Amino acid sequence: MDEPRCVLCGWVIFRSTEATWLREFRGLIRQSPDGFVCLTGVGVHDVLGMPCLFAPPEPPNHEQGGDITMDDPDQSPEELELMPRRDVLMHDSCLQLLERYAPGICSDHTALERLYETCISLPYPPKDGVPNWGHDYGGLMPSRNDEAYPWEGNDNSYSAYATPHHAVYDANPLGTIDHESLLWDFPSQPPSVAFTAPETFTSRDAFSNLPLEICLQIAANLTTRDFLSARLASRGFHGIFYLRSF
Amino acid sequence: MAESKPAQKIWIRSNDDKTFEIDRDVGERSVLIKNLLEDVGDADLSEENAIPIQNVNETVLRKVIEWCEHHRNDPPASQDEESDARKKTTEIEEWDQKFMQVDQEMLFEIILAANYLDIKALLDVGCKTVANMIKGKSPEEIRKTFNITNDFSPEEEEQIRRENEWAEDR
Repeated sequence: MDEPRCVLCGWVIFRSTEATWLREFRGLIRQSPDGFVCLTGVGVHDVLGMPCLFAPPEPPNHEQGGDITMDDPDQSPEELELMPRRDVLMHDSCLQLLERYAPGICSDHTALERLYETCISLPYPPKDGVPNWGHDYGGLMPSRNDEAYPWEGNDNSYSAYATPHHAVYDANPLGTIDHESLLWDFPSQPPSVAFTAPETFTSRDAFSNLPLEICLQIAANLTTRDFLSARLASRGFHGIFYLRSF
Repeated sequence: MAESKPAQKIWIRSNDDKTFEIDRDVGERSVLIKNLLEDVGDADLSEENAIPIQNVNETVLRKVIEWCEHHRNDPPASQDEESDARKKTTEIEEWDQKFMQVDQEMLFEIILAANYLDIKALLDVGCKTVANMIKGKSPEEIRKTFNITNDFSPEEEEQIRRENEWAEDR
């Protein structure tokens, strides 16, 4: 069985006997077709050879989910069974990070329902437990061609399985990243390139005064060599080079 | 012998207030004028209520009308024919060649007027004429022909040359 993965970060929920954030997970689960979506407590992935994960029910005094109860409180024994393809699994650290910057995202049944529906509506490959956005999460997420849907074709651009334990991947997101600066830093302008096709022309030659579509029509009557000479002669022909329609 | 019906007249006015009386089928070589005539309706057509051609002055409009009168009986070209003709040849029929023997300022004014009035065939002739003036010339010769000042910086020129080399290798 493949290792279960966190729907938020894409990295594995590792099975380990050592205390690490990587093995601590929570799940969004709908216990019956008509039941509420609920958030489990923190489960620990340390059981060998089990096809499922188990997590305790949400403790009633959870700071943001205190009013959330399971459909049937008598259902305990404590542990809830979670299936990677059926339920939504997340690292506990990743969920805490989400709650920190999206307050109320797990505050009540309605919010949980919304989060659950969002997660399960994401594009999942047939076997993996994390959404397939067409990229590999910067190396975190492998893609194997035999797991593509038939209509997706093969994509050999993806990496093979990422190195199982990588210092960056294994770093707890709660304690290692300066989230404030990441989330509140205003985007700056990209560095200017040395030269780009000018938007406005300073010269007053005849071609610069013509609308672009007319220059394009003139260019369409030229051979490639003549056109390239023309774009060296006048800015009016310069930008045409970059047009898809040329 | 049946008498031919006199052509219906329309009036168009240049942006410097010169009014021209022309046959309707001549005016309708312009898609812009054709559409305007449909919008205005026959009842409102008069010399006093001439259609304003705001982007074209008297001299240029006179030339455009001359071209439209010569080509008034040309069959309308289909979209496919127009695009094919543009791709295949830059040959220009003799009358049009003579018509386009004007100074460069007028040549570009005619092209702009054809574009504004939506006269595709005239625009095509104008573009072909300019293309023929470019063909076989070096960049310096093109600048000389069209009185273009080279305002590219050395860095810009170098980059264009590099891009051109890349394009020539395609």
